[in-house]
Amino acid sequence: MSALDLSGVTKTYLVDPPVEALRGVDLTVEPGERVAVLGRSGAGKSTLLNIVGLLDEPTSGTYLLAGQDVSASGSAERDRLRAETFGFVFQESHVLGHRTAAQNVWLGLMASGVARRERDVRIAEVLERVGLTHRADSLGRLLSGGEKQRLAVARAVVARPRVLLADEPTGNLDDANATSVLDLFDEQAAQGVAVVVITHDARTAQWADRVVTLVDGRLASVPHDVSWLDRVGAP
Amino acid sequence: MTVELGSFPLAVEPAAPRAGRWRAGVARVQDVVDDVLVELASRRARALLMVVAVGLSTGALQASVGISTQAAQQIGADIAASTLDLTSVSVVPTGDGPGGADAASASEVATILPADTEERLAGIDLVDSGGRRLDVSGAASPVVTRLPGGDEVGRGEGEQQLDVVAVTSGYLRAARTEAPTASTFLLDGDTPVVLLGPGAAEALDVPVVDDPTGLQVWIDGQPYDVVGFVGGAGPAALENAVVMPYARGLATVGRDDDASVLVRALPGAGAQVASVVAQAVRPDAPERLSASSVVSMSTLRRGVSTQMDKLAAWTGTVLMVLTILLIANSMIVAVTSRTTEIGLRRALGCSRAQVGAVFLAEGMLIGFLGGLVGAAIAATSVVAAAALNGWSAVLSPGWIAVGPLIGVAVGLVASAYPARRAATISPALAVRSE
Repeated sequence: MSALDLSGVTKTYLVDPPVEALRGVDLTVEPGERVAVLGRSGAGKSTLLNIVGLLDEPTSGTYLLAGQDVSASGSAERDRLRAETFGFVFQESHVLGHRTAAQNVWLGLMASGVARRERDVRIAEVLERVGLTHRADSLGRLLSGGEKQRLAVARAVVARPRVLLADEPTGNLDDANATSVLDLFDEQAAQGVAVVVITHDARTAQWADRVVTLVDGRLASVPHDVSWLDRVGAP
Repeated sequence: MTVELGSFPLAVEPAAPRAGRWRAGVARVQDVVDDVLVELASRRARALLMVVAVGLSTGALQASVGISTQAAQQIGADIAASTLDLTSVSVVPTGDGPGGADAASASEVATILPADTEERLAGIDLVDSGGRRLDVSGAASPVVTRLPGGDEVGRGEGEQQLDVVAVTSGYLRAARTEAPTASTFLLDGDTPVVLLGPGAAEALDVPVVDDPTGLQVWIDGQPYDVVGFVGGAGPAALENAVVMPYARGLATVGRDDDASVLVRALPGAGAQVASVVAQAVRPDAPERLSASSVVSMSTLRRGVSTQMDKLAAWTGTVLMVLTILLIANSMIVAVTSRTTEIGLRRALGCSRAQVGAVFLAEGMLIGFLGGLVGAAIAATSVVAAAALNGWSAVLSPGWIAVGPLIGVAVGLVASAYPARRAATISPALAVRSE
């Protein structure tokens, strides 16, 4: 059973003139698989991520999440599935600067259904896993870029999602921090979590089990060797 | 129940039992409260400002109502002190002349008010005092002069008009008019004497002295000895009056259908006295008399209270509306500045309702705290205003306790629109904004 399976998914934004962001995307990701999505700006990468993560609805096509058709799910069902199934990591990390690291992670549990008495244990556990135990009570704005992104990963995985979606998770990080984040993704994949990463970064693409590329809203598989990215620069 | 889907189980939650749903609901509320407390604690200045705003407006509303209640009570007490126990009895005009059942008792004149009216009033248990009054000037236009054959006083241009009034001594006692007790009994006889109000004494050029022996004024060519002076204040309004014995006034006018009776009841008995006075004075024809009810005074008091309460309530309401706008504006700004956070919350699985609930709860909590502050301000202000004005402090615990509830209502109304706005933010767009 695939973790997620998109078939013929399109997305058209009804602006003037209408914008076809996705034009019949087919994508299947297995549990534990690490998939990198490449594409130029405006190619539809973020739209794809939003649809996969149930933040947005496809205009047409079929989306099976663990075999369940969620293409036409209602708002409440999508909220529930998002809380139970997905973890998100964004390029900007979106760590709330006025909250402590622990309070930021707590947000990831707010809609999860995890009992309140278990939450502190979970938070401590996940902060230890990302190496931020000593920063648990530090305000988000006082963390470094690398720490923020690790904290964002902690917040994304604390509810134990089955799919981890990341949008340029290493885009603002140096090599050491990028490696650290990818290692955390590896841990998740090893536990059966499907990891889908949108990236411009050649090393992240190399790290993935499979690389797909979006060109003008259409998806195509590319050779796993993406060393060409280093030669021509980011698409 | 869990449906195994290969290596990737997708939990399908069975219908939770009622107790479980209740616990989950409580946990969700606790989550929202925890979340809001963290938010408020991390934005202390903003939270404090909003709490103070609610506090001031709630306090203003409660204090203004409280102070106006005190003021209204004070006004009511003042009115009550001066007039509440007074009843005025007037003759009901019939158009067929006096001809009363008691006409025979008035020596030469047919009267409606019996000659022993004062005794009859004294027979009512709850009456303090009472007596008759007849405005002679209005009925007979007597000529008043300082000297025999002198110029009439009070008729010339620019001169203060004099009122010739005939009363019994009981009338002056009922009206609490200042008068020399040694001479007021003369008003109950037929002796040609007068008492003068201060304005009348001045107009007649009569010196106001302790012993007026030898002073005279002339009314319709007859000499009247001045036997004293009366105060002008009070319900009798005798500032410019020449006060003569009731019997002489009645003889001058020839009828008493313009006469009235003023009755002072014992404190608090005004209504009872008003209800029986006509029967007591004219048991044969009580319908010929009309007693002005003290109920109208009570209505006046209630009217004063109501109007002042309305005034205070409107003032407070305007302040509340301003506060609602202030908080709403602040929260809209907060929603805008927290767009990314809202998107993040939605991405993490929070529903629209949960996102909206965070802002509603924030508004209600701020309102509650502000209401507490406002209640304290109101209680202090009411007590302080009472102390400064020498009033009796009227502090309703129930009204003060309403403060936090008003605050919650203000917070709820103020945050409704921002909460709705937050709930409708698209998560897909929100997570991309920074």
